[in-house]
Amino acid sequence: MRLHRITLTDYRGVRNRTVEFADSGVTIVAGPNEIGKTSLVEALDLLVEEKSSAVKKEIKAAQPVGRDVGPSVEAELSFGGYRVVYRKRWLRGHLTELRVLSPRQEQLSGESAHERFAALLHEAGIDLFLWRQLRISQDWQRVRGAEQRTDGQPSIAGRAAVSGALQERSAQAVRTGPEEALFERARQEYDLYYTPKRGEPRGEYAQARTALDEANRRVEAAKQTLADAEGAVSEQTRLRRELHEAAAELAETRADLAALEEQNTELAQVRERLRTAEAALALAGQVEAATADLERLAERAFDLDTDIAAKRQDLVAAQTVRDQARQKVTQAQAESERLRAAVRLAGEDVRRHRDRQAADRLAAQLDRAQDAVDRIRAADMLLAANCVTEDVLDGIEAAHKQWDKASALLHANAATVDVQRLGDAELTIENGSVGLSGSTASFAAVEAITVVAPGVVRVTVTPGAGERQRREKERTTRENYRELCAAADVPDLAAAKDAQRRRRESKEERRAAVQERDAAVADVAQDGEELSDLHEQLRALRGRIAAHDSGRPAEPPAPATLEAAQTAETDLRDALEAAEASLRLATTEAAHDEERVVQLNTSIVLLQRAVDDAAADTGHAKNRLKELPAARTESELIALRAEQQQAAARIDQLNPDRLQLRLDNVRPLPAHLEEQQVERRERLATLAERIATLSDSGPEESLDDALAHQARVQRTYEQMHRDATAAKLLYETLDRYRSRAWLRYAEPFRALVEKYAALVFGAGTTIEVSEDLTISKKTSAGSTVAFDQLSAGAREQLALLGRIACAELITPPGAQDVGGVPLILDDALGHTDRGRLDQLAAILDRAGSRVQIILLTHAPERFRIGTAHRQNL
Amino acid sequence: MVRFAHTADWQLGMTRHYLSPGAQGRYDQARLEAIGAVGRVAQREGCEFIVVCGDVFEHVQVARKTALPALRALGALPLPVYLLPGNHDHLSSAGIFASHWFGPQRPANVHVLDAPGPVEVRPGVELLAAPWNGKQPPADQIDRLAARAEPLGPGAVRIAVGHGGVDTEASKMAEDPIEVAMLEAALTERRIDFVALGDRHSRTQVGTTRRIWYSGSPEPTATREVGPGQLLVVDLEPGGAVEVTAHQIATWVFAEQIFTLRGVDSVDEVIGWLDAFDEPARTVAKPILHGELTLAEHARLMDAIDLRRDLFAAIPSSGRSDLRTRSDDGDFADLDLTGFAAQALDELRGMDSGEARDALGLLLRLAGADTDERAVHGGGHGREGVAAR
Repeated sequence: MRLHRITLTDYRGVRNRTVEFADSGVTIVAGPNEIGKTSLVEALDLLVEEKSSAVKKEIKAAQPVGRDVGPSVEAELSFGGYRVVYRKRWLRGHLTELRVLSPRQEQLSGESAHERFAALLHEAGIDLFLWRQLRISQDWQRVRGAEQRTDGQPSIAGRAAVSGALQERSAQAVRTGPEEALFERARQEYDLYYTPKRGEPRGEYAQARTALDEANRRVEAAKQTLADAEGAVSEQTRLRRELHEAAAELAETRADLAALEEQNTELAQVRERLRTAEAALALAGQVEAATADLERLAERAFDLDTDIAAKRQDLVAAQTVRDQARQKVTQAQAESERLRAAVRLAGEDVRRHRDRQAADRLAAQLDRAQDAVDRIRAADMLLAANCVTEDVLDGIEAAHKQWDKASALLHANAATVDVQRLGDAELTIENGSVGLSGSTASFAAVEAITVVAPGVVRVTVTPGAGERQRREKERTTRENYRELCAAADVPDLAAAKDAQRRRRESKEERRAAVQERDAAVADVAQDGEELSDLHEQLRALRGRIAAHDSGRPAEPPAPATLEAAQTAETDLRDALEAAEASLRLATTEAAHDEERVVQLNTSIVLLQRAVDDAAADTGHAKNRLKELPAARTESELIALRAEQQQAAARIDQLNPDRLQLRLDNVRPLPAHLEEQQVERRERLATLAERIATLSDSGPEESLDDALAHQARVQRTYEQMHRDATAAKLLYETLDRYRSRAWLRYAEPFRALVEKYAALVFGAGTTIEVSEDLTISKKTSAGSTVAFDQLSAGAREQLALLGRIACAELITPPGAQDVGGVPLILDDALGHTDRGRLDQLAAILDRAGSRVQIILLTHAPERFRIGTAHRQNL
Repeated sequence: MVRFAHTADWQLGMTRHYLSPGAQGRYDQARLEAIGAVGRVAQREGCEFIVVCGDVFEHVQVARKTALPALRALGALPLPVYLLPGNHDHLSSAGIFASHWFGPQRPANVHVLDAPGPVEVRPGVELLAAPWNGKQPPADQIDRLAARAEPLGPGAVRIAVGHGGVDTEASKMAEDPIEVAMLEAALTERRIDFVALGDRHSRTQVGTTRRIWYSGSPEPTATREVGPGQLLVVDLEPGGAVEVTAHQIATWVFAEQIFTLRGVDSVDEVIGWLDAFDEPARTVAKPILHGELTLAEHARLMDAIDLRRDLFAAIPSSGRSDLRTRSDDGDFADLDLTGFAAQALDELRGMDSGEARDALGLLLRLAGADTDERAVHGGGHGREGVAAR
């Protein structure tokens, strides 16, 4: 189809405008936005598709605002060998006119014009759907609604024009004809049973499976119910049998128990008999024993009496012996006493002699000591008179030495005055100590010396100042010396030395006297004892001797010497020892005899007590015998023993232990069995109810129902499954071959798109096309990207290339007005940059030689197509 | 002389899995109504009583919804009815006859022969009953009871009422079967005059005395049965002749037929057999199919059968069928398939499996629809209805 021109009258904001399109190549219709470019496209759609009588919203929208006129569209077109002018006006004065210009002129109007136009289009094989699909418009919503794909690609698959074009280039025919329809039915059949994506059962098939599962569950439940019912019945049967058997067992057990209880009663009776017999026998035994006791006690009393008599005789003898022994002891004691006194006296005699000796010795010592004491006293007197101790002497000597020194110093420094009497001149020396002896005198001038030669001269020598000092020194030291001597009561140093020597001798004397005194009493004086004490001792000794001498009896005569006294004492002591030994012997014997008497007395007491006891026992025995029954006769005893044996034998027979064991075992049994019976009866009652309930529901019938249902559902499912399997196999087989064929079929379209894509996106770009003839993937520079993941620019460019390829495919070379449709691009490629735009322009230019291309744009400069026919709105 | 009605094997509560729930309901109803039919025929024929020789009920424990309507129908009969417990409804502590509601609901004219031995119907007429008390045949089976029975005096009639297989029926694999010879000896010795049996659902005369009968069930229960759906009316002369008359009771037909299929005509034969039934809604028709059909022929047969399924009570498929299909060039020649469809067809035809044949059948149907569609457009005759499976 080729569009030659279009005229809009009173259409939206357009009063009247005609746009003419080039017969070949690209027509660029330029105009700013809102000037009506899109109205052109819309008007074409309305003209071709809407009857002039239609009053649709979109038609009303085409009416100019505020003007009561009918919008009108007229177009001149050629297709399928026809060239026509087609005109419609809507709303006001609506009309339809068709003028066929060639090959044979026709003029139609109204409904017949509309129908004729449609018939012509059909005859030419013009696909209006495809026509709309090949457009690119800014506003897809306005381009006749929902048949548009959301990804911007044209929906061209299955269109006869496309398929036909592809078939011409393809060995295999697909997408048309019976095969495609068959495939479509097979797919629909498959869709009945399976979900399209996952291939899972769906719809009735899935329901059949679910129903089968449900039926299987129902059968299982019914089987369970039946099994429950049968179980209940078999339990009921078993319990009834058990109830019956247990009743018999209970009766048997009760009989057993009764027999055992009877035996038990008999056992008690026999035991009582045994006990009675044994008691009687025991009593008889007691009587016998009591009688025997009495006899024995009498014998014993007699024996005891005999014993006592014998013991008493023994006692009398023993007492005599004892008395004799006592006498011997008394005598021995007297002798011992006497000898002891004699020994004492002898001892005193010995001491008297020893005292005598001691007193004599002590007196001698005391005399010697007294001499020493006298010497001490004399020394002490000397010492008291002599005070020149060594210290005193040392002081005097030192003072003397100082004086001597001072004197020497005085004299050494003093001028020596030599006076020599010449002739017989008198000459006197006044003062001083100096005298003139002879005719000469020489002295030191230590003091003022006046030498007078009477009448001649008086010479006074006066010492100087130094001299005075030395003289003072000499005087003070001399006075000191003299004071010390005076203090010591000696005239001078020599006397002091002598006195000191004497004093030393006195001290020595005293020391020797002290030694003498101490030595004299050294062996007798105790520590601290003074001589006075020793004197006292001596007096005491002498007193004692005197006392002894005065107090001593005359007899025996006092021994003369110590030795005699000592001998007498020793003899007496020996005698005393012998006497005391005799005493001890006698005492021991006497004690022994005494013991014997005591023993005999004790024996007699004990025996007497035994006699008393025996008498008491006899009394008791007699009383007891009185309380006991009369003694049994022998025959009675025999009978009792026989009874006892019989009873014991019966008890043995009854075997009490075993009997008790069995009784213990059997006694609780009946109650236990009864309890079980009660439980069984209760369970049976429960079961009866349960069976009644289960039976009423008819479990077998329910199972039959469930099985029948299961069988039906199973059949349904199996048939469904078989059908589904067949549908799946058929669909998948067809699909496999169809897909293989598809690859070959779609190849011309794909190759064309790819060729253009290589121009736009670079050499080596490859394109994949999916089943619905849309571009699914683009691969360039080794990177494969799905269509919907591409950038907006790439998507619109590829979509345009798809359209160009499609338009080229369906337009036979040199036959644009036969089957093809114009490619209308309304403000397309807004996302495309300059470089790509130029590439696309070149492609459009080239495609324009085969396909009519109408480019509506507000920016005509974007499309650099040299051969393009340009129209301004 | 005594005249009584002999029937058995009512199997009330029985389910046939090939029946749809609706058909099962109709079938149940028909068998319930058969009780009334039995009563009407018995009364019309002047019977004194009716004996039902076992398996009155399908199960030992029958749901009350099944049993109570039956008891009501029995109570409505104008003459005494004697029910013998059989192997299906044997005496059990949990069974229907022991249930707490059976006693109160039992109509006065209905008697359960629940103990082995004689039961007097009226002076001079006695039933000798051998009820089942478990799943195994009773120890006192009817042959043994008959052998032990006292010989009859003149003027007295004794009818043995039993249930179970007999040893002369070779097809019957019954355990401990009833010995026909013993029964015949008892008949000869006049310990009994007639043996009314249940268990076989086909009306069957046993032995040579003409006095031992299975009545069969009053409505058919399986397609194999021969002569079901009848009531026997028995005339007995004490010490004299016996006369057994069969009366049709059944309103349902259970039928089966073997077909060996080859070619279009054989398909038509099956269709013809089905179409010949007068009351398909009360008919269970089981064609047993052998032979081999092309896909197209098979599809036609199946379509025909499917079309009739809703008409019939049931057209069950038979386990004894052995019908094969083969894909014939002719099946697909008219389709004129080319391209990928032709390739897919070739592959499926080469597969030789049931699934592949089914797929081919489907292809044929789908392609056929296409052809038909075109034919419809061309004013031809369509088959859409048949294609809808």
